[in-house]
Parts: sequence; C-alpha cells; structure tokens
Amino acid sequence: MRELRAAAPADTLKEAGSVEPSESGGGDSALRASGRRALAAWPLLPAFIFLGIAFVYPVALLLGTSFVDSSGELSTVHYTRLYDSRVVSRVLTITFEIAAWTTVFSVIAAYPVAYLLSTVRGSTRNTLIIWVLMPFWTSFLVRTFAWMVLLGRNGAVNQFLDILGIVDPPTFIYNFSGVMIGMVHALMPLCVLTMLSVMESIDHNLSRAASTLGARPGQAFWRVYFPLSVPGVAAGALLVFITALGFFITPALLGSERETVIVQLIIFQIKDMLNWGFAGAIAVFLLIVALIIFFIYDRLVGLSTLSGGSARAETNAKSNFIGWVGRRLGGLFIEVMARGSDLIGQGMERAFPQRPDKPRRKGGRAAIWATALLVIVFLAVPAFFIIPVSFTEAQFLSWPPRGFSLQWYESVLSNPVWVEAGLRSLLIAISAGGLGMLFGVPAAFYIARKARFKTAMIGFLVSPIIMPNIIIAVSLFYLYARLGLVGTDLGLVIGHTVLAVPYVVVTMIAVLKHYDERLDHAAYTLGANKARTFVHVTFPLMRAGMVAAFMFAFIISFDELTIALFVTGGQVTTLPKKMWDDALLQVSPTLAAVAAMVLVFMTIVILVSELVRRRGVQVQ
Amino acid sequence: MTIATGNYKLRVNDLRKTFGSLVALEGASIDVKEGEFLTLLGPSGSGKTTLLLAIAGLNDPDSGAIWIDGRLTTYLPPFKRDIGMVFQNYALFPHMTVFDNIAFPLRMRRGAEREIKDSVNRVLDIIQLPDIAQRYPRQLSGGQQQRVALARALVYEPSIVLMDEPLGALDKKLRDQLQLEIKQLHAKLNIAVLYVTHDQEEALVMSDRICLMRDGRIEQLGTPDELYFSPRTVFAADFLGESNLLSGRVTARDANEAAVRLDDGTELRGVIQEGIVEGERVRVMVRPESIALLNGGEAPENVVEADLENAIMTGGTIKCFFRTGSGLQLSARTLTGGPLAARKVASGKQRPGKQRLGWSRERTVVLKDA
Ligand SMILES: Nc1ncnc2c1ncn2[C@@H]1O[C@H](COP(=O)(O)OP(=O)(O)OP(=O)(O)O)[C@@H](O)[C@H]1O
Ligand SMILES: [Mg+2]
Repeated sequence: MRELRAAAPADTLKEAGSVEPSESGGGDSALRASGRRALAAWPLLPAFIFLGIAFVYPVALLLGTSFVDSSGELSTVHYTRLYDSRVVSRVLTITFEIAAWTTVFSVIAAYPVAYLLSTVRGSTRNTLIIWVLMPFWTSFLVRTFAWMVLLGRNGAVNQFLDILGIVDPPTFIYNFSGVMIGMVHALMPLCVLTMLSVMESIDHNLSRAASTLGARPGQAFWRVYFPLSVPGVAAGALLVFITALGFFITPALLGSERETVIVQLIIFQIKDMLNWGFAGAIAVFLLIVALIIFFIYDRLVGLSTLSGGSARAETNAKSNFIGWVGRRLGGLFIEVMARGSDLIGQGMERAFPQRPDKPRRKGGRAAIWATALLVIVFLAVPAFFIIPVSFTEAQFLSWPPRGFSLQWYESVLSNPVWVEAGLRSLLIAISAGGLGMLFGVPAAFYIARKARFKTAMIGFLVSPIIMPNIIIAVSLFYLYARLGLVGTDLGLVIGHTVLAVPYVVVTMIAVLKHYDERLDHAAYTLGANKARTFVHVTFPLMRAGMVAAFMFAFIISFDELTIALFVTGGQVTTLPKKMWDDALLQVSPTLAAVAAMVLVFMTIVILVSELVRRRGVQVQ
Repeated sequence: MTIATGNYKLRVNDLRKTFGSLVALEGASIDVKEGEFLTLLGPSGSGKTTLLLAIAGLNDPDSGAIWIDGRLTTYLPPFKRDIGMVFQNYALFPHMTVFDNIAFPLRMRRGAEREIKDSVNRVLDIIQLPDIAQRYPRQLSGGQQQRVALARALVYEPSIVLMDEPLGALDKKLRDQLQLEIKQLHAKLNIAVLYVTHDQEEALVMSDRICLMRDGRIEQLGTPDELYFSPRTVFAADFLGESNLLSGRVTARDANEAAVRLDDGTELRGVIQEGIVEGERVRVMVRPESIALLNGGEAPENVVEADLENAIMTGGTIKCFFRTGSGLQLSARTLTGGPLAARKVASGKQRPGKQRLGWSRERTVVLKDA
C-alpha cells in the first residue's frame, strides 16, 4: 500500500508550504488578474461548498447551542456546569491520562520500527510496511474483538501463561492495561508512518561521519540522529495524542467503568439526557484543548514540522518563552542521554575490550531487528486470532476454539439484519468514496499545480479528519434532526463524504507530487487538447493513485462508527454499528464470524487495490 | 600491537572484501607516508569507496590488515582510529552551527571549551572563512560547506585524512579552485591524505602518487608521471589521458628496448617491460601530444608519413587525425599556435595533405596485449 501510505498527512503536506510568488502588477490590471485567478479556482468550489454546508455550518451550529440555555436565552450555564462537575473533571483526567500514556508507548515502540524501515531497502521494506499497516486497515472493531479473544479471562494469553506455569496471571482486560494495549495497537502505525517520513530524509552518512569524528554509537545517536528525528517524533506524538483524545471504542470495550472517556460523556449527554447545550459545551472544550495543544506544539517545534518542514531554530526567551524553555530542557535531556550512553559504552569496552584483529560482533543491529520484529508481530498478528474462534462449536468465545462448525456463519448470513447492514455499509462506502473523489480530485489537482496559499487550503480541507469525529457526528445529528435526515442513507453518505474528501485530497496531492507535468505539456505540443490529454495521458498514468484514493475513502467509510452511531438514529444500521451494538451486550462467536468475514473482505480489497497499483507502476 | 612501519601514516596489507559473491576488493595493499597525498583513481565500481570505508572502519574487510600510525586497527570501530573523513555530500550536521560542527570532534575528545574555541577559530582562519562560525550549514554555499567539512576533519589533527570524491558535487570552476586550495592546505599542514576520485585530471593535478584501481584490484601504483608516461597495462594507458594504442608483434628485444612490427607492417622502436618475449602480440602506446609534425631537420627514432584526414580545434590544442598509406590511424595533438597545416585544416581553409610524423623511443611504450 505505498500509495495509501503516502497519504499520511504529515507525509504529503511536505511541499505544500511553498507559496508561488505573486506576479506584481499595478492597480487595474492587478484587479483583473486576481479576478481571473478567482475564476480559475473553480476546481476548488465543489469541495469548499460541500464542506461549508456539511461540515462548517453544522459544527458552528452545535458550538452555538452551547451558549444558549434551555429557555433559549444566551447564557454560560453549560460552561459553569462543566467547570463545577466532579464527573466531568474525573472523566477529563482519565481521558488525558489515557491519551498521554498511549502517546508515550506509541512513540517508544514506533521509533525502532520506523528506524529499521528507514534503513532497509526494496522488497523487505515493502513487506514490513504492509505488516505494520495491517492494523491500520483492519476494522477498528475487528481488532478490538481480537484483543478480547486474546486477553479475556480464558483468552489465549492467559492460557499461554498457564502453560508457562504462571498460575495467577494479572488481568489484562477491562482495566487500564487493556485500554492501553488496544489504543497503542490502534494508533502506533500512524506514529510509525509519521516518523518514517522524517527519518527517510535523514542522511545516514551523518551518523557515520560522527563516528569517524570520534563519537561512540551512543553519542552519535543522541547528538546527531535523535535531534534530527525530533520533528518526526513530535509530529507523531501530536497526531497520536489528538486522535487518542477522540477515541471511545477501545476504552468502552477493553476498559472498565473507570476508563470512561470524554467522548462517552458526550454520547451519554445526547442519547440519554438529550442535553444538547451541555454536550456542545463539552465539544467546545475538547476543541479548545486541541487548539491549545496545537499552539504549544507550534511554539515548541513549529507547525511546519507536520508538513515535513524542519523544526524551529534557536529562539530567545522573550519572543517565544515556551520554545525557549523547551529547547533548554531538550538540550539538557540530550546531554544527559548522550553522556549516560557514552559511559555505558566505555564500560562495555572495558569489560569486553575490542580486538583490532577480530571482526566485532554486530549486536546493535540485531537488537534493533529483534525489537522491531516484536513490535510488528504485536501489530499484525492479533487480528488473525479472530478466524479460528469463529469456527468454534462452543456457545461462548473461548480459547482454544472447540471443534469445527460453520454454524455462526450460517446464523449471520441467514439473519436479514446482518445482511442488510452489510449491504448498506457497502453501498454507503461506495457512494461516499465516489462523492469524495468527485469533490476531492479536482481540488487536489488545483492545489498541487496552481494554488497559492496551499498550506491554508490543505489545512481547511483536512480539518474534518484532524477534528475529533465525535464533534462532526454530533453536529450532523443536530442539523439532521431539523432537516429530517436522521436515519436516512443520504444522511449517512453525506456524513461519510465529509471524512472521505480529506483522505482523497491528501492521497491525490501525494500522487500528483510525483507526476511529471511535462508529460502533459508534451501532449499539448503533439496536438492534443486539454480534454484528450487528460483522457489519454494524465488519467492512465494517475490511475493507480486514483484507485488508492478511492480505496482509502471506501475503507474509512466502511469502518466508520462514530457518525453512524448518531446519524442512523437507531432506525437503520450499518455493519460497524450493528457490531458495536452487539458487542456492548456480549462478544459472541457470531460477532467473531462477522469480524472474520470483514477481515477477509478488507484484505481482498487491499490486495486488489495493491495489484492495480502495481500494474499502474509497471505502465509507468 | 605495533610493528615497525617507519613514518608510514597508513599501511594496508592484502585487503579483501566481498559482498555476497561479488568481490569488491582483492589483494589491495597501499601505504601512505607522512605528508603524502595519495589518490585512489578508477572507474565506477572499481572498489575505491570500499577500500576507503574499510580504512575508516565503516565496513569490515574479510581478510587483510590495516595499520594507522603504526597501530593495528583492522577491525577497530571508526571512533578509535584517529582518522578524519570528508564525505562527498559533506555530511555536515544540519542542526549544528559551523562552530559546533567543527567543535564536535574536539568535544568527543573531551577538550576544554577554551581550547576548543581557539582551535576552531584557528582552523576557520586557515580555510579563510573566519566570519561564518554562527551560521548553519544550509546558509552556506557548496564551496563553503566543502571547506567547513575539510576544517572539521582537520581540526583535531588526525593521523590521516580520507576524502571520498569531496569535489564531486561542485561545478567545474569551483572544483578547479578547491583542488588548488586543498593542495595548498596539504602542503602547509603536512598531513597524510588518501583521496578518492574518478576524475583523472583531478588525480594528476593533486597527487604525489596515484593508485589506479580496476575491478577491486590495484592496477598500478606510482607517481602521476610514471602512470602517464609509463603505464604498465593497456587499461592504465587507456584510462589516463588519450592514447594511440597500436597492435603488433615484437620482432626483437633487449633489456628494456624492443622493435615491434605493427599489423600494417610499420616498424617502431619503444620501451618494453620484463615478461614480454619475442614474437608475442603487443600493443604500442603513443600519447597524441608526443607525436610531432615534422618539417625537415629532426630525426626521431619513429617516423611515419601520413595523410591529415581531419583536425579539430579544442581550445589550447588542435587534435589531428592521420592515416598512413598502409591504413594505420594515428591521432596527434599540437598547440593551436603551432604548425600551420593543422590549423588551416581545422578552420577549413586547406585540403588535407601528406605530413611526416615523428616521436621518440622513450615516449613509445610496448605493452602486453590484454
Ligand atoms: N554495501 C554493498 N553491498 C553490495 N555491494 C556493494 C556494496 N558496496 C559496494 N558494492 C559493490 O562493490 C563494488 C565496488 O563498489 P565501490 O563503491 O567501492 O566502487 P567505487 O570505486 O567507489 O565506484 P564509484 O566511483 O561509483 O563511487 C561495486 O560493484 C558495488 O556495486
Ligand atoms: Mg565511490
């Protein structure tokens, strides 16, 4: 999935920062020129108008309700309550705790994997990347179920520990550690990709140069390689943290009452209390927290790192206090780590003196491989446990599965609710993918080739995926309730298209970056007009990228739960929503069968798009 | 573990390195004396970088031995070798200022900050860039970055400085200038340098000795003069400069002189090495600039009469293409200000005609046919 991989936002905004210089011209002609430019920007219109109506407007509407009390008067009553509530502060604390620890673990585990990926070449690299991305592409719910199979009281992990003779194993599920395992598993791939895009641009000669200049491996790493990888670490951490704040599936299914997170609170306020204003206030709070985090991030390392730019240069205490303090602390950290590792290195040399006449052992490289492979196994393997379990004869999920039976598959396929949910999800995913392409592709072409203010435009177009999904979901629900769109397929398609557009835009811009526009120019000089050039030259060459973009949007929609949870209004159901509803009651072998089918279906979709992509590459 | 190595800064003995089934280096032995400038020259893939990296400790040889400043270092890690290395893309640390870059090796050696400051400033003076200490590498031009990389490799006075195509990324003019600067720096500081290039002109300009490499082996090692005028193989003759390589057979030889009959019947006399016997097939090398266009008086050992077929003005010299009545083709080079005939042909004013060509026996090298 190279094309899809490239779609990680951090990877693609890379060149977006460059703004073409504006032509200078005086008065009247400048006016006319800017008018012409505005007209020429028509490819942006569909995407901008759509997001304006289906995203900006409803979100603004929801935020507005948070400032209105039950009688319709302007008031801050919801915010006072937010401030006073013990429940809210407890939930907030645990939400931040979960997000923070998820970030820490993800970064630490992702670092060696990204490092390894940045040093291996060719087919090894592609294979490893597919495994790393495994969880990224298998449904959220499927993965969570898999962890339930693995970590449950009689799950595979405990059985394994039992064999090892550990009689009273700790519980890994329905507590904080369960949530951690699930969240880190879900978000680490994002972190790997973000770091990888930075690490790939670090010249590996720098570490070698450091060693010829007299630096031990520890010194070379901490003083040269690590500082250069910081933009990737920071961007990865930021994305994981922000995404983790908006998570609720994993905490709900793998945690306990104690691990109730802020999104669940919003859902509760709307579904059970019908308190829109208060829910809106929580949403506003979430949004403000996200903005503050972005602000601090910008002061510390600079927002440009998100689009592959370099980190902030040295600053003084007055103009950027946060950045200044961060630098001092970072410098101190590096100094301590560098000296510490150097001392360890010296100690090792004393204990095992280096012989000049015997090759030295390459322990470091092996250790990195071992660590990275362990992490990759953690990422890739769990999903497969769902398959054997789905063939069990037992009435409950247990490990190992008992006997062999197809009864759960039969019961799913003969149940019209499941079948209907599956078909609806398929239909909606295709529609949302198609609409996403319709709006996203022209915008991507325009931005990649002509646009000024690229960063701002991309920023607007991707904001739906940076903002926690719950805010979009609640906003749409609020708007739909007025328009009577709740529970309609149209409503679902619109909601999913809001998410599809950013993914299509980001993927297409990444692809277009590698497209040589001179090929188009060559076609023009050979007598083809614009339309024919597009049909005969541009499109065939871009086909692989377009397939990837569509698949991306398709998978996002097919797996989407948050928006579906609200917009369906309990009247119709999609596959993820049905799985979620069942899982809240009990995770049964039926669900395992559904999950196995989804897993196989997704794998086929991904393999097919990979095949199409490879064919496209060969053509080129 | 020292052996008597005299004043050699570097000794490499019978080094071998393979990558899978590919032999990248085989039987490589070189030494570099104190203050000597030795260049590894050879076509792409001939093993120059492999040899350099083995000396730097950045790849482990399969067998053989390396001594640096009299100390066996074959498998020591790079940071224990006391070498300085300049990389092709400079490998300056982008997140450090020029000062911090140059101070890096001194800090790794735990120098006192005061002394570090003095050393860095001194070396910045030497490379004639005293005012850039607080800049970042990206704020420097290519030539300036190159100088800083050089300064960083010199500041701690390592036993030997290794450079892998340090000028490869620069344009011709800057390259010429920096060649001279490096050469001057080398003379001034009296350091041992092992330099890699695949540009023969660069090698000839800069080196005390040149080590010509081919397919992982050392083809010939000697002074630029030796390599240019007394190549020992057809490959060496062909790789350095231009040459006429004429096929023939040895008709007679004594200790170091031979008579050769070329395939078209022309008889030539030239210098010959050990190991070639009478009757053996050989190639005779003559440099185009060794061939003189004769007007009358002179009587060199080798003379032929030929038609001027074509002439090309290449700036300072004119390149002339001749063919004898028996079909032998020769190219000669004369100064643009020299004999009229070639100049006129070059500017198209005169038809080609008969010309006597001559060259001395010393400039004629008889080589084993490869
Ligand atoms: N890490 C490696 N793995 C496998 N083969 C290698 C490796 N490094 C070098 N080689 C091979 O070893 C041979 C010698 O390579 P080397 O880089 O030393 O050549 P070079 O003389 O430096 O060439 P150039 O002028 O192109 O830099 C080449 O055939 C190359 O393909
Ligand atoms: Mg090389």
